Amino acid sequence: MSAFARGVSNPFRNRLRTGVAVSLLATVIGLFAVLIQGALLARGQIASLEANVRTVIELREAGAFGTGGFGGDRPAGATDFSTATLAMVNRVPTARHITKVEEYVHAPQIDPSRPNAYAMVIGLRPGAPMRAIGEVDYENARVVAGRGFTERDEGEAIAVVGRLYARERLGVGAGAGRAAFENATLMLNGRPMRVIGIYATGNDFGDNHVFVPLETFRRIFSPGSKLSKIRVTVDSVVNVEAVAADLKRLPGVDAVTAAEQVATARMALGTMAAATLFGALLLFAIGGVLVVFVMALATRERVSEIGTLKALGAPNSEIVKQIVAEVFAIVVMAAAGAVFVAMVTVRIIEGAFGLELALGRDVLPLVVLGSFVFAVLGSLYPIVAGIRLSPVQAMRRT
Amino acid sequence: METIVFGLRNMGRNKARLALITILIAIPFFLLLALQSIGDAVERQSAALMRDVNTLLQLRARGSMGHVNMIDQDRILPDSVLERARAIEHVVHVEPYLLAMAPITMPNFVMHVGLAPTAIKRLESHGEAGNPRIIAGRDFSPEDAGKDVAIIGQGYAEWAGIRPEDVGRATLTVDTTRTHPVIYAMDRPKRDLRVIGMYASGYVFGDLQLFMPLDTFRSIYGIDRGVSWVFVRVDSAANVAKVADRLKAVVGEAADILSPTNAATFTATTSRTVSRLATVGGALAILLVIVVVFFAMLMLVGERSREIGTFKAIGAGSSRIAGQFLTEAVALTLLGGIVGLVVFRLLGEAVAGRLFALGVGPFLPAHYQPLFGSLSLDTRLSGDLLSLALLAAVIAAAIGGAYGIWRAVRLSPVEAMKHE
Repeated sequence: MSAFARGVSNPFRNRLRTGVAVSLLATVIGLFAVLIQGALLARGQIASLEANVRTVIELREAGAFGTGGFGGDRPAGATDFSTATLAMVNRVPTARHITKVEEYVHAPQIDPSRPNAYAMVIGLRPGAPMRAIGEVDYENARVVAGRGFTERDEGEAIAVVGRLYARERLGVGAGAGRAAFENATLMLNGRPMRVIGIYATGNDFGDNHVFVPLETFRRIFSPGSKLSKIRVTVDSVVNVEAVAADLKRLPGVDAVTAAEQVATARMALGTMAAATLFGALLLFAIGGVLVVFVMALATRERVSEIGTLKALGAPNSEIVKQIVAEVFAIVVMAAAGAVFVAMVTVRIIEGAFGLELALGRDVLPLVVLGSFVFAVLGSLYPIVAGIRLSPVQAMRRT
Repeated sequence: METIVFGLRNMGRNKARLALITILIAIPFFLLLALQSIGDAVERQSAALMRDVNTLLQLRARGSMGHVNMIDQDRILPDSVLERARAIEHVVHVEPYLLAMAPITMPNFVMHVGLAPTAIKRLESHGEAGNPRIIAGRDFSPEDAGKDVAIIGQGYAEWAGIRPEDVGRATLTVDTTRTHPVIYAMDRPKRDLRVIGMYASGYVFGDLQLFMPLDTFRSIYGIDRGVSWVFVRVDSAANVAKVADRLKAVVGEAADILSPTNAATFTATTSRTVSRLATVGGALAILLVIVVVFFAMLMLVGERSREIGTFKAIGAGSSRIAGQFLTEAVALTLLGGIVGLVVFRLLGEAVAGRLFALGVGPFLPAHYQPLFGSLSLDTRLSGDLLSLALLAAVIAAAIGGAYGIWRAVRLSPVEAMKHE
């Protein structure tokens, strides 16, 4: 019988003890797989927070309200803030952290005869978020009737208007359905614009705007290359301060972030990410120690057997092969049990904590592979101790 | 009783073994406590995120910017909004502000803001970016309420010819009769304000404001009642949507409510998931430590089957042997647990912090380096948790020990003595 075959069949000699060892190993590997999956999920959630919380930096012409000018004000950056700024944004040293750059240009439309006299016309690239003035910068207007812009709308004479604007200036209610505003038009600088949708922000000031495609805006109002606002989205909140610092150095630019909230989010999320990783490493240590324990216990009795094998002339390499094969057999059986343990544990956790913790396809094989490595480490004791024994000592201990 | 005394005395017979087993049990306990502490740190950071980020709502009169002298944008909120907002559950802070525009070199303008002296100094067009840095002079104190004092932005100061070294002596005249294409004149007397501080916000428009006490603003502009803005802070991002809905119900007729509802909901949902995962991780770690203790006891008793055989050979009953070894197993677990706890309390912060820096440092991007000092692991753990972990470990030790003892007492004395 080859060393491999002996190793694989060895666990079945004492089925009770092998059963206990395999059960415990299955428990450890199963729980460990769930823990690793949990750590990965936590990391994913934190990464999602890092990528989405406070990652927008608002740029506008230096010294401006950023709303297209009140009474023709001429802020410090009035001549500098333009499409050229867009190119500069993409060239800052930290530009690799910028994931999105959105350009907006504004023109006020004041009608004192209306209860809410001050409306704003906003040009934007079709597909960009419709961001209302005064609205918190990461909240977007929601289309409540008709449709928003698509990329094919660039340059078209069409508009999406706010709910208040539609009601007060077009006589159209958002709840009236598409037919009510299908033929609605509004005049911008003497040009007719077809209304294709109505949006809502939840407040009247934000609902008093007209969004039009950027090229359409430029054709109507002739602002040249001038822009009113640029929104820069950064890949992670941890990079917002560095990117904002670079953007502040651009000529004619005010770069605005909620610095305290960014700092809080960066610190909190960074610590959470680091702590989660630290916890995973500690768990890895505990899991490894456990597997070593189990295997040391399960293969302890092999010490004296190794001596006997040596007395029969088996070389050390054969002995190592046999023990590794035995470890492999035990770990394979334990892996099957671990799948069951992990699935049951996941079900319990999902029920008790309301978490979706589906085991990833890669997690269990990786944990089993890791366990095999630790199991081999745990088997070093019988291998080393057995090899160091003389055959006579070994036979005496049998 | 005698069995227990024997068991305890047995424990000290072999000092090296005692130390080894104690360390074997203490290490996983220490790691467990470190893990719990890490989970606690995650919870604290999650709570800070939920409390401080995306929890601010702004209220303005419906459809109005609320500037008291701006053409067609001068509608302000009634005072009743303040009390109604304060009465809403989960609202922790309500701050009123009054705003006016002031022309400077035409056609530009600056903002004058009235606020409670201790309130956060919020910047028009980006109120969340509050509390700009004082770069000269001093901040407001509660004693400044109603006084003719002001804190000026460095851009506004430059226009007015006020240098940082002039702060404390310089005055600025507020003239409400001056107009602008979007600012109407108010027939009010001029007022000189003493500039007591200068601030920098980090951007040009943010530096074009003048802050003054709310009552001073009311007196200058003749606004006896009402407010331009109300900032409402909610106790947690998880409650922002609820508070926004409630505000709409109680003041929605009068106020536009600008709420970071979607961002807050996202923050709350995701943070809650992370917190739950930390809890699950802690619970599973306790389970793993119990398995470690079980194995340690199983090995310990297995190693001593020869002694058990000797006891049986001299006539000791199985129950006495079991009692003696179980006492030893439980006592060793308690000792190991207590040693792990004491070491954690004494060295946990330093050791865990060092482990953190050494263990995690190489895996983290450079921008996390400053966090090494910030991950303060709190070594004060809840008594309930410790009791639970220790009790569970003792039970595991008893079960693990009992299994080994059961196997040993089933053997004949000769077999047991042969079996090492």
